[in-house]
Formats: sequence, C-alpha cells, structure tokens
Amino acid sequence: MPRLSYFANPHRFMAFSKAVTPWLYAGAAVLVGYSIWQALFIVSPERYQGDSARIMFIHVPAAWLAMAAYAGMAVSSFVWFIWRHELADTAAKALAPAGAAYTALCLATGAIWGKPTWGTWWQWDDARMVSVLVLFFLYLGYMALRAAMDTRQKAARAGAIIAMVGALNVPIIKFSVDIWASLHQGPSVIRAGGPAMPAEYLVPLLLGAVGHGLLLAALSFTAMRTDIMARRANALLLKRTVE
Amino acid sequence: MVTAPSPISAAFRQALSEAWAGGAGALLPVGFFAGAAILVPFGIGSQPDQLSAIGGGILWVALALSSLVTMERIFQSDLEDGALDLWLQADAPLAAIAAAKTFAHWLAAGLPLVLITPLLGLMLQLPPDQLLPAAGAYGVGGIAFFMWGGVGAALTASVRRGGLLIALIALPLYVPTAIFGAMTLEAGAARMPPEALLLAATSLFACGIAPFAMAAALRLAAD
Amino acid sequence: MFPAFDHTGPYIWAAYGLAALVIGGLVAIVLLRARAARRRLERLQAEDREAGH
Repeated sequence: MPRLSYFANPHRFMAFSKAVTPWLYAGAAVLVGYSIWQALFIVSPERYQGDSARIMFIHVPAAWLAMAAYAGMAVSSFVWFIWRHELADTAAKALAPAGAAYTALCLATGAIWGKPTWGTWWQWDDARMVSVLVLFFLYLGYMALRAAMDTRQKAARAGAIIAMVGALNVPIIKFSVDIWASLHQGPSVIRAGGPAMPAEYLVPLLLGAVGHGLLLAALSFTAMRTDIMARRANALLLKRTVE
Repeated sequence: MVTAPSPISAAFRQALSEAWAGGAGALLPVGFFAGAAILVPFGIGSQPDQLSAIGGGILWVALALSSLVTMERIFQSDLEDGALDLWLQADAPLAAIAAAKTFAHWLAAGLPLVLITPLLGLMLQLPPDQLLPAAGAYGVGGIAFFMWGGVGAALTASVRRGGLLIALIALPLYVPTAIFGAMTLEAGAARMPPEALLLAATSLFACGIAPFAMAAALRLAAD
Repeated sequence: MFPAFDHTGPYIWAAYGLAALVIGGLVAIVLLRARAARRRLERLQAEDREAGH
C-alpha cells in the first residue's frame, strides 16, 4: 500500500484515476440502481408509514453523503494547508458542489417525506433537518468565497481556512441544535430506522449508501481530472505568450 | 510615552479612533439595531404577551445582523492604508493583533448596541428585572458574533463588495450562540442558568479559534 | 410496470424524480466539463505539435 503522498504527484494521479474512475461509476450505477429497485419495487410497505418510508432509501444516503463530503472537504483543506499538495485543494474544490447537491437533495426529500408523515413540509423540531440546513449554508459560503477570489492560490487558501473553521464549528452547531430541538421534542422521520430496522430495509439502504459513496468518489476524480487538464491547458497557453 | 507602542495596542487604539473618527460612525450600527428591533412589532403585531415571548429572541437576531453591518470595512482599510503590511513585519503575533483589533471593534460598534438593549427590551415587553442580566448575555454573545464576523471580514478583505459574503460565511457560525443566548433569556438570565455557561462557552471558543483564522486570512489578503 | 403505492405515491415519485434530476444533473455537468477540458487540452497539444514540426 503506497503512502497517500504517492498519489500527490499529478501524473501518477492522472494514470491512477483514469484506470479507476470508470469502475467507480460502474459500481455506483449497480449499487444505486439495486437500492432504488429494491426501494420502489421489492421492499414491503413500512408498518406505520406505509409506502412513504420508501423515500428513506434516497433521503438517508443523501444525508450521509452530505456529511461525508463536508468531512472530506475539511480533511483535504487541512492537508492542503499543512503540506500544500495541489491535489488536496483540487479534491476540496471538487467535493464542494457534489456535497452541496446531496445536501440540497437531503433537504428536499426530507421535506417531501415529512409532508405525508407529519403533515408538514418542514419541522424545526427535527434537529437533523435543521443541522443539514446549516450545513447547506456552510457549503454555500465555501463556494461563494472561493468564487470571489481572483487567483487560484487565494481561492485555495481562503477555502481551506473557511472549511477548517466550519468543520471545527460543526460539532458545536450540531450540539446546540440538538439541545434546542429537544426543548420541543417532536416526531422524527427516521424513527422507523434505528437498530430495529429489518434486514429487508437495512441491506438495500447500506448498499445504496455505498453506491452513492462510490459515485461521490467518481465525480470527485472526474472533477479533479478536469481541473488538472485545465491547468495544463493554461500552462500551454502561458508558454505560448512567453515564446 | 517612553517606549514605542506595541503593534497590539496600536491596532487596538487605531480601531477605536477609526470608529469614532467619522463623527456619527459608531452611531450607525446603533441606529440599525434599534430600527431593526422596532420594525418587528409592526410586522408581527403589538400584543404585549406575544412581544414579551419573542422580544429577547428578536434582539438576538437584530444584534447578529447589526454586528455584520460594520464588518466589511474593518480589515479592508488596513489593507488599503498599509497597516496590514506593518503588522506582518511586527514582532507581535498577527493573531493577537487581529484579536485586539476585533475586540476594539466590538467595544466601538458592539458595546453601544448592548447598552441600549435594556431600553429596547423594555419596549418589547421583556420583564424589567431581566433587562440588565439580559444585557450581560447580549454582551457575552456579541463577542462571538464579532469574532466570527471578523473571520469573514478578514477572508474578504481583498474582495470588493464583500459585505454579503461576510454574512453568508458568518451566519451559520452564529447559530450556537443565538440558540444558547435565546435559551439563557428564556430560562431567566438573572438566575445564571446552565445555558448561560454554554453561551459563554461559545464566545470563548470563538475567541480561541477566530484570531488564528483571521491571522491566516490576513496573510492571504496581504499577498 | 409501475408499482402501486398507497396515497403517498405522489410523494415517493416526487422524491425519486427530484433525486434523478439532481444526481443526473450533477453527473452530466461534471462529465460535460471534463469532456470540454480534455478537448481543449488535446487541441492545444495538437497545435503545439504542428507548430513544432
């Protein structure tokens, strides 16, 4: 097993990602397809919520991916800030839009699930929904700040700082929102889940989550490859103006 | 003055004089704060029991927004007039200078807001015996708002028209302080409820982290 | 063809339709950008090779 820094070399990364990325997409398609097929056609309706519990198979993986992408972004930012490996910043930049999309999807499917379950699109009492909303704004701030910087280097530094500050704050935000929501304890959508979830639900849910994880990895690799190719093209153009 | 002033106290004094130099400069956030709080009864109705239930929370929201109004310029002017370059060459750690500058900014633009919260609280039907303890809670929580706002201001110092960006960056970080602040008032700030300790903890956390983030961001802005 | 759901059917289809839209859109944007970047790089490299000969 080579050290992670082995792949910090863009050439090695390009070779490695070129070989791996198609398999990631294929694995993601199989696993996500399987979980959605199970969710829509196979699993039996939930005892209390009926068919609406089928929304869980997209909502819960989206929530996990939203958090995983932010964690990945924060770790990449830290690695970039300490060791200045260009690829780490490329990874952070690539993870942000995908993470934001999954966060938005989590919020939207949560609202759609909440309507038949609670009779309301939005429930402030549910700490998870509120935390994910704050996470969405952390993503927006990260992307807006990067976009406002006029050079790549500045965008990388500013992005790394705000991603690390945000990551340090996430546990505290989560803690405060949990306490606040517990004041007016309301129903929780995912109560049907928990350790008592039957294997009929658990297996497609977990495999689907793995599939979405593979998709996130594949999308990040593609976005990182795009970034590296754009830089090479810019370097070629710069060379021409010098010559 | 026997010795040259340290860059930390120089930045502190400079921030204070900047705030008051424009004449009514420091009064602007007070006007914004009072205006925002006074608009609420027009928006939601004037029933006293309704107002007293939400008045404390309204002031937290107004305080959070008011802290952002003055943030845009605090590090931009240092970048423009070269003060930032002097700080970078100073012996004192940049994080300490940034913290001093932000704290001075809180004194100039935040403390006046805190001082008028008893008056606004009275108008929003808060219980009279809670007004002064509540002002203390606003003061403690305001430090967290200004510290995180300062991080946003430092990050956007080199960005033109960065004001809205500061708000987008800082507002999610305000959530714990706003929650524990409102809970402190709900539990009765005069009794020093455990929520007050959590509120103070969010401010201490901000004071511990934000100066280093500001320093890193100011180094970036100076490049 | 389509499974029959209880009265929550429209919500289920809305959730999965939205998921297809968001995830499909994300994949499409990322892949289109990758293709554009690859073509641009290949074009510039080909031009350089021609100029070199």
